[in-house]
Amino acid sequence: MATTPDLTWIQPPSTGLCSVLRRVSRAPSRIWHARDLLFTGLARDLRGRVAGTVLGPLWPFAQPAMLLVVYGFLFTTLLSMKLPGASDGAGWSAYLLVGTLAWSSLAECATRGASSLLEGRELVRKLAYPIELLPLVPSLSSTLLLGSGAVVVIVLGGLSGYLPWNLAALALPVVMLLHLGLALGLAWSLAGLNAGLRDVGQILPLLLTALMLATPVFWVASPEVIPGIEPWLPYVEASPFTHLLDAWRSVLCAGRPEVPCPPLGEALASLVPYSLGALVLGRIVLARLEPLILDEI
Amino acid sequence: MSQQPVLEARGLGKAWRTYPSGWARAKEVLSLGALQSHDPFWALRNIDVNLPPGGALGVVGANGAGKSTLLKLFAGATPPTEGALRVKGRVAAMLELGAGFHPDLSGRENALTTGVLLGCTRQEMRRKTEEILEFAGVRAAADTPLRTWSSGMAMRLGFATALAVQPDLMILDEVLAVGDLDFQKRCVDAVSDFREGGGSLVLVSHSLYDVRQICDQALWLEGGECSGQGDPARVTGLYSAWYGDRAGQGETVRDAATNPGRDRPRITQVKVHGTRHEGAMDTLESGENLSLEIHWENPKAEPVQLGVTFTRQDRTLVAASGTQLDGLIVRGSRGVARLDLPCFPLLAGRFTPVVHMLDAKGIHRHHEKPTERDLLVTAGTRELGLVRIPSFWSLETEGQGDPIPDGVNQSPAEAKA
Repeated sequence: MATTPDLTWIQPPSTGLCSVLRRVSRAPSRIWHARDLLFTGLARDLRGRVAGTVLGPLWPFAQPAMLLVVYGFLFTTLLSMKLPGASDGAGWSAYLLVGTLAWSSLAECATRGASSLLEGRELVRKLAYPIELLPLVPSLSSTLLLGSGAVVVIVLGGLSGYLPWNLAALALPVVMLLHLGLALGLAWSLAGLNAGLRDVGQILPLLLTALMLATPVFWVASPEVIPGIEPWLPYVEASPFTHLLDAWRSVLCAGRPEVPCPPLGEALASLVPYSLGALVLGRIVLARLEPLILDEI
Repeated sequence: MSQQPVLEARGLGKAWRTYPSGWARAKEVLSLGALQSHDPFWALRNIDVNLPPGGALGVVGANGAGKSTLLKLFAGATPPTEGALRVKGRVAAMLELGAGFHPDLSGRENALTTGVLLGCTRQEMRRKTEEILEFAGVRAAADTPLRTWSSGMAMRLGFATALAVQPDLMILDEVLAVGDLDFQKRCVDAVSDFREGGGSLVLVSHSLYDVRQICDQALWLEGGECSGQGDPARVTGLYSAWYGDRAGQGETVRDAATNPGRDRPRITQVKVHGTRHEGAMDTLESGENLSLEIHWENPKAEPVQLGVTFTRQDRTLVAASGTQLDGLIVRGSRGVARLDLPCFPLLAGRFTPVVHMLDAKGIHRHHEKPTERDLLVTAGTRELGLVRIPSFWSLETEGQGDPIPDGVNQSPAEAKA
């Protein structure tokens, strides 16, 4: 409930280190208190996505299923591209499919997160909506949709033999949580920056395209596949996005050993610091910019 | 129960940010506020407010005086730049009706989500949705997307939702004038009920009438600072006097109230007795007897009040009389009321008598009808001002010469006779 605790004086905000850290540490409890607001926003977002369509709530499942069919057809029948040590193109297409699904969700979180405060300005201005919830809603809904897409991939992939079932798939909730952390951290920072400086939103699509090309979404970071990549490997491996895609592939593609990815435990563990770091950093950026945002939007 | 104020502000001030250039803005944002490069623009300064539980504060002032900024601070939508404020309990701010509505969602879904936005839980709102749709009168369209609704319907839904939240403090920004006359009446009644139930209210209105009738304290803002605070009648009077005819615009007849529907309470005819018809005006000598004969209809026979106001050309309200002041409530479906004004005390000037028909509480105006012609009052005496005040002189003098008693305490009519 949006009741202010009794007898709290609302005073000019401070952006000093202590008060920012205090606000950052209170974020989980503030979000918990606003859970009704969050669920309502989430339900509205999910309904708004499919409002007016014929398939309605089936779309989140239909989309990944269609993608799976397209990728499967394209890479096993039309293009004969194979991963090293593979007999057919199924591994390569699974590698691409999972990479595309995870990346497009992350890019969506970044894009929608960046515009979330500007789009929700009426809520903030007229209804005093807590600003940290606005980027959280699209990040959460996008991560949930990615999760449902992953379930479709697991089920259909297993049934068709395209991606044989593997116990690693049980780690899906864990990788979703880590994905949400990274995506939300990104969304919080971008939302704050874009609300203060619209130029951020203009440069973002370019930045995301460059990041996508620099991240192993459509290529494999291995000298076997791309000769001459060695000097760049340390940079590729330092990127949080590489770790994110590795984690998703470890969970979903474990049934195809030819798909290059680290062992499940290692992949998830290496993503944890990135995910937590992004969350804290994103919340700090938003807390620092909050007084400015509340004056400007 | 403690008398802790629901809303308390001390030395409240708000400065918005202006940037000398885009680069200054970029510097401030990209440094995450470490390099402050904005100039403050003060919208509000040194505001003190103390609103006890059940109180109602009316905020008046010209456009740009800082009213909306003040409401935003109260609503918690933006933090203060100086001073401090505290609010006790649940606040429902209606800075704009229908803020937060999603055009693709149905009326029912929008009512539910907006209620949660205003501070209710989802369970509470599920229980209240039917009641809200009923009050807004939109039950038939409840499950169609909001974009297919008329804007009036959406606003009614917004108001009904905010009322259903049952806040401790309700903040209304110019929202009492939405919807058709029938809905306006129900809004005003609902606000009265809300206050009788112990709710507190902050109201911004250009209608000084609403502020005087609904509020028990008023704040007049001018250029972001407090120009008057306290008793609503006194503050709105000061404001009215300060702004002259500009302020009077808020008190002129509303279009809707000049032309009510056929099934609404209305004034059918006003006859003026005691005057001479000269040109475009009815003339009357100050001190003569004036009476008005008011014919009215009230198809639903709801209890109403009648009132008459005299407004000078510059829209200054000079005098008023109402049935409620005489302890009368007008009942029935039609009738004639007669208002006698013996020894009419207004002095020379041109006045517009307006007959008002109001609801039983005297808040909602059903119909306002000016007399056919303005009233021109002439005065044969040298008395100054707008009105003759009953007065008695007595003199104690020393030395030569006696005061001459002739003419003292006689009205001009008697003096002439």
